[in-house]
Amino acid sequence: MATKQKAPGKTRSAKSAPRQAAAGKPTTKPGGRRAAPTRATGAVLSELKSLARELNKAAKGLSKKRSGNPKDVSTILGNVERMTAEAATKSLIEAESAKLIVSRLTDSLSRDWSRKDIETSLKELGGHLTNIIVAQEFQDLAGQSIRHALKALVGAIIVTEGGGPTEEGRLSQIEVDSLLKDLMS
Amino acid sequence: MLFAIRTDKTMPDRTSLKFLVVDDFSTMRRIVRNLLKELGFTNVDEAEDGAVALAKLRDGNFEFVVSDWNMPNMDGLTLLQNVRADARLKTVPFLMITAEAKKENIIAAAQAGASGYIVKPFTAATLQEKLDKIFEKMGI
Repeated sequence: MATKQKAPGKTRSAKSAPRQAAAGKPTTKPGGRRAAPTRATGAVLSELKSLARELNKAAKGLSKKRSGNPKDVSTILGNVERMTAEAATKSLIEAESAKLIVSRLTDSLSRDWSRKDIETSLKELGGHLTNIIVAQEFQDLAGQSIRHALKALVGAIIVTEGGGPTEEGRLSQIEVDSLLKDLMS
Repeated sequence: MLFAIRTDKTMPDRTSLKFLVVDDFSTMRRIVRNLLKELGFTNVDEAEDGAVALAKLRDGNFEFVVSDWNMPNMDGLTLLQNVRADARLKTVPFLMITAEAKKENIIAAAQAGASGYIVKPFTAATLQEKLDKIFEKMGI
């Protein structure tokens, strides 16, 4: 029965070559044949170069994420804080104004009162209540911002989406109207 | 297509119009519903994203869409494109209310056929003004 003989130098993989070299084992066979170890060293070097390139690429990505994320999160959360503060202030001002009207109306009931004045006051009151309702839209904007902040925080795992209610590049309603007018003409 | 407006003679009067408010945030849907009610529009339904909205639009006789842009499943722009591509829905007025306020957003919405565009945060007066403008073009 014929037995297969392995060619010299092919039994050792590229990965095992440095391990053997480090352990002080000879890399050449008796008789001075050096062709196989040279091929293996070349493969290791090539693999190392490839690994170095990959590491370099990964390091660049990491430094980019590290420099961007905290700033992004800080900006987003800063916007959330501003939005909530504005909404609270707006709601308080409107509620205080509404309470003044209620107080004025209550006082007027014990004196001479006119239907017209009451109607005007009620309309004013309705306006303040509407403004309180509209002020709650901060929840939508703040919610979107918090979602973006969360995505930025876990940016290493989840790809962060662009856009969102950040201040950069946003147009005002007047600018939007003007742009739409241009697009239509 | 820019600002597609329905102008047929079977146009209903303003207050009887059937609205669909589309937003993934229930707070915002509630705010818009409240504002619409204050303006006299009581026939209002809601949808939490573009996909639900499109199904509702295809099932019901909605005459006006007020939609957010950023939503899961189907965003507002895709919803608008689907509406404009649907022979039965293509003339329904579509008002975008969104935090997306970059130039490219406005251009994309206009090119897709938005009837109006409101940027958040907005006021009751802004909503009324934009609705009036659309109604004016609709001839009601």
